Amino acid sequence: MRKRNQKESLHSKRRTFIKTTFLCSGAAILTGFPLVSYFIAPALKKATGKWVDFGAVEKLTPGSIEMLTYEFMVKDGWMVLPQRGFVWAKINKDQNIKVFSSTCTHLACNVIWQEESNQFICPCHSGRFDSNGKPVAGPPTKPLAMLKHKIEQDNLLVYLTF
Amino acid sequence: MNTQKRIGFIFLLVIAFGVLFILNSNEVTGAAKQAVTAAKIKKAPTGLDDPAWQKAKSANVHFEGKEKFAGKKAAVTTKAVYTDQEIYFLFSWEDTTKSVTKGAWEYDGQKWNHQKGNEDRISLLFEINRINNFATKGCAIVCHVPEGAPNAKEGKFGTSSAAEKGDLWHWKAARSDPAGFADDTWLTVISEKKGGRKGDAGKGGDIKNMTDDKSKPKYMLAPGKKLAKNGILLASDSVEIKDYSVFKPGDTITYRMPKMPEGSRADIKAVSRYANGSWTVMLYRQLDTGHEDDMALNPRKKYNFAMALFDDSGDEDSYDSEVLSLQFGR
Amino acid sequence: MNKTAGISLETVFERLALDRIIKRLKELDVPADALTWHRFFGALLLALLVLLFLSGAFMSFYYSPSPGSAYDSVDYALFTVPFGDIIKGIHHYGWNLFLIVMGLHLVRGFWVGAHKPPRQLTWVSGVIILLLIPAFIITGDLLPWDQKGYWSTQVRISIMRSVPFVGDFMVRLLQGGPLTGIVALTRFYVLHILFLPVLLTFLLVIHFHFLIQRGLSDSLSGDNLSTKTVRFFPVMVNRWLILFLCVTLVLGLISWYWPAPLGDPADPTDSTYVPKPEWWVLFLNQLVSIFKGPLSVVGSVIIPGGLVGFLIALPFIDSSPERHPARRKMVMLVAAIIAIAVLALSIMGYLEHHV
Repeated sequence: MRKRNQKESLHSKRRTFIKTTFLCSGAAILTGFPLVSYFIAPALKKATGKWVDFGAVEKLTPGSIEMLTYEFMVKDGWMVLPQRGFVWAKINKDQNIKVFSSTCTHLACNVIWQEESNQFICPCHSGRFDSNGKPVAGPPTKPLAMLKHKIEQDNLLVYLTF
Repeated sequence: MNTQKRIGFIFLLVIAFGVLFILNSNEVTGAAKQAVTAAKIKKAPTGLDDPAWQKAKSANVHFEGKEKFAGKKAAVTTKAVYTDQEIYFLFSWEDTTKSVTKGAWEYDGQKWNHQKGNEDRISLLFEINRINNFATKGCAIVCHVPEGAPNAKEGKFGTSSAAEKGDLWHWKAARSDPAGFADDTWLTVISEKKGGRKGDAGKGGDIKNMTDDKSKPKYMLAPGKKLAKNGILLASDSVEIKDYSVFKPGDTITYRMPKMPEGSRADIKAVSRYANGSWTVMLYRQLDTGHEDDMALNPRKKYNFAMALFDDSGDEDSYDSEVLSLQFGR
Repeated sequence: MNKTAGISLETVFERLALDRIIKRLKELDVPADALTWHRFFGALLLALLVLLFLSGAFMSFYYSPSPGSAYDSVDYALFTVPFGDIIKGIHHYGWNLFLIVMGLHLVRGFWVGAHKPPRQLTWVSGVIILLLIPAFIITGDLLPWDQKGYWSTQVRISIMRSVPFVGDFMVRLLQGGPLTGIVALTRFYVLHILFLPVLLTFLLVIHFHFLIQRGLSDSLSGDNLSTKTVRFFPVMVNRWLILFLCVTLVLGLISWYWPAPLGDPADPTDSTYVPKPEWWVLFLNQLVSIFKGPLSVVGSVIIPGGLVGFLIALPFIDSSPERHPARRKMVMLVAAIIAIAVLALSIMGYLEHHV
């Protein structure tokens, strides 16, 4: 016992400090790594997308801008839930279709098409976009996101990411 | 702490609370939803002209025509009051034609025919259990649903799941009003064959007055009884016709005879008047009937409801309101 | 060995090894200046915090953190459970009042120079607590899963997403994925009722540690009040309890007359709903709208960031030992400009969004 005590007293303060620091960091890493991974895991998942069928192209009126609503099931964590929303489709006279996201590029409120002014308006901060999705007034600086779309068997399909 | 400082502290607190209220007052209104505010009254209104109605603020509810009426508009002036026990609604709307025929029988001297003409109706839909998105979309979610929706079915309506339940108040000028009631029904999931509309527990509805071969009426007014309002024959006042020879050409007999409702189906009472080209209808019910097929009203809460107006219509051809908010004043 | 018959309160405390702490508390003296009215904002905040913790903890008995049932569970707790409206109301009005009183507490501290040496860290710890409060509001707002909570969260999330490089990751981290769904709701819930309160309590302990170690700031008038003392127990404790009773009663009555608001259930497809910025964030919201185009970073990052920096750095900027407001003209002027700007922007925002 005495021998050991002597030996311990020989340890410099610095060595005790290093030892404790070492043990501390060991404990922190051992408990922290699984816990932190546990917490951030879902955030590392890549965004996925999906082609959503909006029905027959014929139903859309050429020369108009129409709201297309969607609802499909998405697995969020452990639960499958309906994901609902809408996009804006601009149908030109020549059947050329453009699909805009309804999300305002300013702060993500939903933009609404206003027939009278020929503009998309964002009610939250009075942002305005023209019929090509370009910002014309208010705080937004970026144009409305254009969504990928295709026509398959006369149906309009839009690629939505979530 | 001297008096002056005490005052200072109290003053600051008062300001703090004041600010709190101003800033919280219109916090959840969000989308503009029309509100019907029921005024609190001590004595229940006895009729359509009771002075109690002056206490209630009237809401002018707009209706959009659907199906056959698409493109047309209508408006109903709506008021509500409540006592500790009951809630009262007062509706009045212009209607140039009073329709209470509902296919009544008419004798032409040779045979019995159904008269042309249907009936006027007004209905209210509340939630018993939450109907998903009813609060934001109203009748668009249950009554006139777009094609492809899980509860879409030609001419029928209901909710999308058994967990979603609605409370349907259905005032019918010919089939419920003469008995002094609105038909108390409820709404559940739509099924393969049928819509989701169900009558509340108990008895009610109407009886089709016809013989087994459907060629003529089976019942007539019992001796000593009188026809009810609008010349309607109530089922309870009827006897089987023994001798058809008493009828003269031009005689009419009610085809759909209202039954006196009983039980939960008899919860909603009605008083009505048609005058000067408009209907005035009062509907009233216990705030909480204690019945499973009725929604219970708690005056501390707000409720969403939607209304539909039927002008001489027998099916889903209606005028619909946007979803409305029912609130209770103090 | 003591016999049961001989047990007194003292011996119980002794057994519990509390006797020394009790003795210290009993003999604790505080300067009589602590009874000045404007020194009770801190105590009021403590009372409110106790109420918030209690009401929040009890509300969680009836809460179900899932998009399908959250709204109904809140509705049930609010209208069906006895005292539900009072408890939710106290939580709701409580946090609003908490923010207001916190503002007053901060202004008072600045006015009397409570951030001056040697109390710099009391101030800094207080500012950090202030910065933590929005996290409570953001996580708490979503929980009822009503229109307001859902849409406000969408806006906040997109603000967060607009932060360069890390924004998207932060959003995913907070929501546990790209959607505002069940994973997000569960995270917000656990952050709101467990992680954030623990962190707040920890920060509060630090705040109190500095308060106790560095003492109360001397009275401005410099009169002999500071040399007089009063007993912490019972004089101060009783005042605190009176304050607690008053605030509970007042909040309870308010909650009874004006039940806490609960909007319609969240409907992610409802394009008509426009979330209104809440009163405490109006000035920031207004800043964001004022600076447009390439300048938007000024309104969204530089000015708010500068404000936070100013608050934290204040004890080191305004470090002269002079504490009387009349003799700190420069810093008072700067603070007045900031205060007027915040107030003016808030009023502008209020007129724009709430009238």
